[in-house]
Amino acid sequence: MTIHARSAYTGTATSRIDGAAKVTGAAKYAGDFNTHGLAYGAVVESTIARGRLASIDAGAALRVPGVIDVITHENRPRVADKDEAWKDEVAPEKGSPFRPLYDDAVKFNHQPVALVLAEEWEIARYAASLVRVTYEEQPFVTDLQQQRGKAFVVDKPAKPRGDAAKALAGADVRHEADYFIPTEHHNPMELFASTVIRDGDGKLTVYDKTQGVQNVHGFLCRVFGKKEDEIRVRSPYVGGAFGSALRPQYQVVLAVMGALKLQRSVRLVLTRRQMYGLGYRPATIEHLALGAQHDGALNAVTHEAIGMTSRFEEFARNDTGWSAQLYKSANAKYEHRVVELDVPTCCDMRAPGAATGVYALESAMDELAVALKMDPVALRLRCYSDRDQSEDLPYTSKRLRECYQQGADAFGWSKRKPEPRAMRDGNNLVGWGMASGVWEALQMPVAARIARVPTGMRRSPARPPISAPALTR
Amino acid sequence: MIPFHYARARDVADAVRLISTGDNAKFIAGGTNLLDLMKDDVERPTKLIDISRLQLRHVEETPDGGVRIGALVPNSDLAWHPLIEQRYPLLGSAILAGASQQLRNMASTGGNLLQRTRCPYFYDTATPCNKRQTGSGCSAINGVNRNHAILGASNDCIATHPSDMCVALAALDAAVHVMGAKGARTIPFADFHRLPGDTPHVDTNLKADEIITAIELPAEGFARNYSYLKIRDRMSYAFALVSVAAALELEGAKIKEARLALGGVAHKPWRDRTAEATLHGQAADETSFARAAELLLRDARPQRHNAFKIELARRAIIRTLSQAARGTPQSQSDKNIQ
Repeated sequence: MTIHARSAYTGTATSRIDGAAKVTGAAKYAGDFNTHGLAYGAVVESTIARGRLASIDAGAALRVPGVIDVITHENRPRVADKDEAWKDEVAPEKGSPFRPLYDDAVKFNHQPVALVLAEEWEIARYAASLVRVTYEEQPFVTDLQQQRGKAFVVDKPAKPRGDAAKALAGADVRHEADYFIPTEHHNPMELFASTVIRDGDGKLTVYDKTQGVQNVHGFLCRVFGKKEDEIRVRSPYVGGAFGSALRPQYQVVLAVMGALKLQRSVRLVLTRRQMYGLGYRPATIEHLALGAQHDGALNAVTHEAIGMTSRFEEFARNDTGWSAQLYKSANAKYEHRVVELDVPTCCDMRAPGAATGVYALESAMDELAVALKMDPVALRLRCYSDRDQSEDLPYTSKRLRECYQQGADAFGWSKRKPEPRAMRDGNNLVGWGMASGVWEALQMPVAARIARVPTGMRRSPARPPISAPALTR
Repeated sequence: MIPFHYARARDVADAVRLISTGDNAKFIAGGTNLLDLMKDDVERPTKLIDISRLQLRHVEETPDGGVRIGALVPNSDLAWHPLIEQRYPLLGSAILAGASQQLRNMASTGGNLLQRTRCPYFYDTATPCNKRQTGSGCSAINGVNRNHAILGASNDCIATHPSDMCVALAALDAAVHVMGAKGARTIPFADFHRLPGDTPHVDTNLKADEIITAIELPAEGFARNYSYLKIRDRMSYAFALVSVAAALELEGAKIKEARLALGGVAHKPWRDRTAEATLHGQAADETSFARAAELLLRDARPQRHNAFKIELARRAIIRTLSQAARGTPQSQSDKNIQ
């Protein structure tokens, strides 16, 4: 069966099942769902990074015709007060998740501090601009570089091997440097949005921009003290997320709050600017120290990553685990530390930890190649390993040697001139470089239920057998 | 968005009458900048006066050999107008270096002159900005100021003017025709935009009751030796870090007349007549161009994040003048630097 499927689909163009719906605009995203009597929300955000809300004056906003309510921490519906309720399936192990409109604490810039609900979105947005917020400001820190000295150790890094410091000191050639990766925001094309549709019996159907409907469902049930069948979460399409929609975001909490308070259906769409108040890939300083013999054989690898997290949750991804795997070296040492800043908690973005850690390792390898006066591909081949160095286990698959060769042939790598500014195309300077990548083949047990439905038969409207998120990502 | 009144002007006199009624009224033509500013709560006009249907859409030759451009000529029409293509290609090139085709289709000639800075603090109403709110302070001076001014800045504002088109108009010695309650007047282009000083909220010398009716170009268009080079973080749809408009009139190998204006470096298109004068009578070569660049940048002062702009400007000036002298202007479609 598997073999047939491969030969039929590999190398041939196949239309996506949802392709036509997406390109014709028929596909509905979380903010597209509609119902009679929908109320529209707009968020008021904090303009300071740390402190307390001294006052929120919603008077002018409430006087705008069409405004229904302004929800703040002082008049919100009841929510859970235990961290266990607020911890979603992918929340960091340590810490206390952010609770929107919970109390008067301001923990980061762009934190939601009020939700304006109105009969029209334009009215809500205008009224939100009239909400006056005053603060008791507290000193804040948001700069990783400045706070570097305050980093503390997190994660269990890969086991050290030998004595990296001694080996580095005795190496023929050394390269040591910091590599800095600034904060990267996902800000995908689809704005973060939730449409909460309230049925006649008070049950809620939540159309949410999320990569995990079960995660959001459990989270909302716990946070609002609802039974499993009182809330239903759907996410038929996701217009880009890259990890940013793995955790429930604050707009889904606010939209449900609005629906509960008003006893009607509510839609909340964040603005693109407000999406900078969500999770992001943390800025990271990667410190690398490599020591090699004259022939390029590595004998010392030290990799230290210094990331950032919020003050209230400890988020870290194992940046150094990848350099622990890739190259042969008898001596190695790894460390991962983070700094607490007054910012929202970071979150996963495309190959978290690896995209940053391997970038730094590979930059360092290139610079080591320069110091060794060695071709960068030759250096990689010299340090090539068929076993995961950290666990001393064979890789499930690694054909990197063949890959280097194929790439080098296709590029004409042997014609590369390594000196800076040596290759030109007209007025353009041309540089040829290479880098390796490594990512784990994650495997976990999953259960799936598939129902085969004869053509023409209607699917049960109550519980569709095939969940749409399986079609898309 | 804040509710506002809307009125459509019948003619120029009507537009002037409508804007003179007090209130916080604004003209709207293409709206490519004003609507963004309104959505971001930066501009809060109580009244919009629609001038988009006024009869100011002609490009025509003037009796003394120049060209008069109606204030409502769309940027894209202007860039491809035969008179501009043939006689003022520097202007067309600068227009095509800016924005996107869709924006150029909407944006008007007059509106291009009046667009506001893209300083991010000007747009972020949560931060102080002297240009947005007088006396509140400048967030950029101690903030992220990579894209800010290196020339003519003040302690109150280090914003830059965002236009490409205006850099060419400055180099070409254009004149701005305006009409106000007290009648018509003409403002030389160099006097139209202002340096920030201690009044950064005032971008131009246009009075509150005045409307731009036309831009006039003098007869000399430097169609043979010109170039507009725009250096930016990405090849398209980005504001200039540094841009240079260069125009030369050559006599053999010698420079008879030189024009040099810079964008992305100051609160207005930056023109330096001393630097231009130093080129007169000189050989059109890199030595002369380097001397002019040094002179133009003699008073350049970097901000914390943009010291690179000074060297970038120096090299861009030399490169653009060289392109002009060779008669191989920078292409705006093939964006590789020539």
